[in-house]
Amino acid sequence: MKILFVKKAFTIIEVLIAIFILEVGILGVSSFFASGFKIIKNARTETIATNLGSGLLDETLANSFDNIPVGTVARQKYSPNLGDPFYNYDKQIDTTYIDEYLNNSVTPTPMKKIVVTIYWTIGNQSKTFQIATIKASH
Amino acid sequence: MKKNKALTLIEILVAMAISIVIIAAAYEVYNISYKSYKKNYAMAELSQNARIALERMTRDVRQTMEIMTDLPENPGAGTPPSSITFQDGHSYWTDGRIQYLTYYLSDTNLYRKTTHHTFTSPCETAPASTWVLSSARDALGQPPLFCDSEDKPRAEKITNLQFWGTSVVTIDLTVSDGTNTYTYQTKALGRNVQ
Repeated sequence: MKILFVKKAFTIIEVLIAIFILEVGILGVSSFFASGFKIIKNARTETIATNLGSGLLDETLANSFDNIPVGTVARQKYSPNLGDPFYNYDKQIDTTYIDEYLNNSVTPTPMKKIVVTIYWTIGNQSKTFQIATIKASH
Repeated sequence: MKKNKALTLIEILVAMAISIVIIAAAYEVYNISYKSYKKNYAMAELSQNARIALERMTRDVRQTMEIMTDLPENPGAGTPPSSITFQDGHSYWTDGRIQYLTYYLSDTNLYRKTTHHTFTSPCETAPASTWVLSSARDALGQPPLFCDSEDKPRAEKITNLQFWGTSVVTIDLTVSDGTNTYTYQTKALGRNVQ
């Protein structure tokens, strides 16, 4: 009888390589879950920062035009109390006069641009959120 | 002739042991994946609820012309209430309807309730043109009737809700599913408050 092919077993090296490749595949897929976890955490801190920022903007807008000081309210803790849920967030408010082309103006104009910046870190990554509005004197 | 050779018992046992280990490992990977999926889902759901609740409340508070609930200036000045009632600015500016909105917690659900006041009885079917301010009084000095036209849950899993501040309302809420707890805060200025 004519022999068409020789039955040959896998060597141990081949089997090990196969298992190794399988392992890499499985670990690769499971790392998606870790990054999904990170993305959700990121989204949460971003939502918190967005709400804090727009809140600060509203708080600033509650003042009359003349009572909003031009200049920078230097970066500081949103809440100075350790243990406060927002302890890890910093705030900064920049107010400038702007001209009719919305460019910053050194001389007083009847319009002020208010920029609120929220800083926070997630892991070792620092992040910022900025929101701005314009207030006109009546 | 090809000779068929059977496997020995030892070979079968070794093969079975190896396949059990592989299947167990594969199941473990599936199990961990499923657990982390569920955890991610739960956390995303919490964020979503908090975001929806804050967005709805700030949107309504910003349009109001009068906040009815007495709010302390800050949490140190008094216990901040967990519900707030104010005049609906959107309905007033769009078609002149005078009605009030209340956001309150029932169990862990955030409800948004719409209330109107009228001197026309019955209150439930009184046309919107007869709706009046809650401070209105009739010729005899009597307050108007009032009833709710809508009362629906808007967000869930909210375990704590607080309001404080007079001109700028601070909204502070905590969402929790028992495992994860997150606190959110924002401030809203009632732009039409006199």
